[in-house]
Amino acid sequence: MSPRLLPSLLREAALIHRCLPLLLPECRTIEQARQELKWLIDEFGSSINLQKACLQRNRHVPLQYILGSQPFGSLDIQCRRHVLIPRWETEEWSLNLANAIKESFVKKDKKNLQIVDLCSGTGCIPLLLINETKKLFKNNSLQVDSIDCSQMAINLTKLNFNLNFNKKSNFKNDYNISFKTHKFNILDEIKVKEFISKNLTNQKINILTCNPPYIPPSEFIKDVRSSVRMYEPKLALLGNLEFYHNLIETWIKFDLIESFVYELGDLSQVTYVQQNVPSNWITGVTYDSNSKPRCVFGYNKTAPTDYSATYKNFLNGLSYTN
Amino acid sequence: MYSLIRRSLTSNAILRIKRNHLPPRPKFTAQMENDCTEVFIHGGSGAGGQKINKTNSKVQLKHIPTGIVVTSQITRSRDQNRKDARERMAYELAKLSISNGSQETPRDVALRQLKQQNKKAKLKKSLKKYEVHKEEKERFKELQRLEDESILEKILGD
Repeated sequence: MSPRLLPSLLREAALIHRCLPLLLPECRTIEQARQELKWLIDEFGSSINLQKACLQRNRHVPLQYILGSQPFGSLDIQCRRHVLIPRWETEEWSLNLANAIKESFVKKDKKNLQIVDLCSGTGCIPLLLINETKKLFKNNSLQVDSIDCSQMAINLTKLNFNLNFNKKSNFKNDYNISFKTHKFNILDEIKVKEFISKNLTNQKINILTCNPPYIPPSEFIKDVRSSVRMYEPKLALLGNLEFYHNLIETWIKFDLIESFVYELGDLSQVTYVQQNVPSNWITGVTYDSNSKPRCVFGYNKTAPTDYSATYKNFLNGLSYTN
Repeated sequence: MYSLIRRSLTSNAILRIKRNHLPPRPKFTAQMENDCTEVFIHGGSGAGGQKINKTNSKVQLKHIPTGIVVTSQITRSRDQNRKDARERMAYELAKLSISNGSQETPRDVALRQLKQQNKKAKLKKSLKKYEVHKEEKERFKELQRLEDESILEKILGD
């Protein structure tokens, strides 16, 4: 729990703007609070709505739910209640993955690509991958499937796809990209097989991405910030090894995928994956710019496509391109 | 005749600066990218990932040969902040490379001149306005004077 705010700090904030003290419980410092106030003013002006928004923020409602969106790479992702807000760590590794695909994958092989994203939520990962790599898919095709078990997440993913791509009416004509959403629980093996037999008859999944719920219930009260704990869906937060178990026992065991990238919270999840993958798989861990373990990736050595270059780029990470 | 021609050919009008024809902003080159290190500041250690929901993302760029550090957190988007930090860095480096010690890029000079120019134009305009008023006032005074005189004449004439 964070310490009590000093009354002197609140007084100082009130002198700058009368809404500023309302933002302090969540922002903690005046500098931070001013930044947020600026964004809120940009959205609401200085009307009664601004006061309402600041009151909401005072009750720890996430800023992204108040403003309704969160920038994610080059995209603007809509955020609604009951769906997890995309995090900067996810943004970072998705961009890295997109760059890795751009640099090594398609240039050399000139082949079609099949990407599946599990536990999509807002759909931020697949949409960013599409947006960053779309120029490569004028002749070769890219098929992206996004799976989630919550209807609200599916609706939001569709909305985000429409807002970011379908508005530009020539997207469908210019690029050979198909994007589909599916609603089912991936922990259910039968449903997964059904999905595979319906959608992926002749080709294996090239890249499987997932940002599963990875906060162990024992850490929920201790570590998780109150704004996350009170307002974001537990369905998208609480979980420990079941999704990594599912990765190994379903997706890898039935030979459905050639490579995967899974986000995670701590090293015990890495060890679990690394200990349980078959011996013909090569795995690795990436760290975010806060030097926390953030992703586990792996690829099949014996797969027809060579993924070593792609994942080497992914591991090396951040490069800035205009 | 000669003096007339000469007069028309020599002018001391200054070059006018236009708002949409300013010298370009300094570019951030690939060489600079190689010389820079980038750090993302997310408020120290502690929980990360799904456990916390950060709203800001501060980008810090350091140019190693010169030691210049710029930071940017003007928007919520890290992408935008990275672009902004690079623009600032390019500007700082351009300022540094200017030899005459004025620390002004061509764009800065042009912007300053544009400001002066606009100020002058404003002053000129307002002066003109006052001149018109002055003229009107004088004309009015003259009329009044004439009227007064005619009245006086009438009175004295009687």
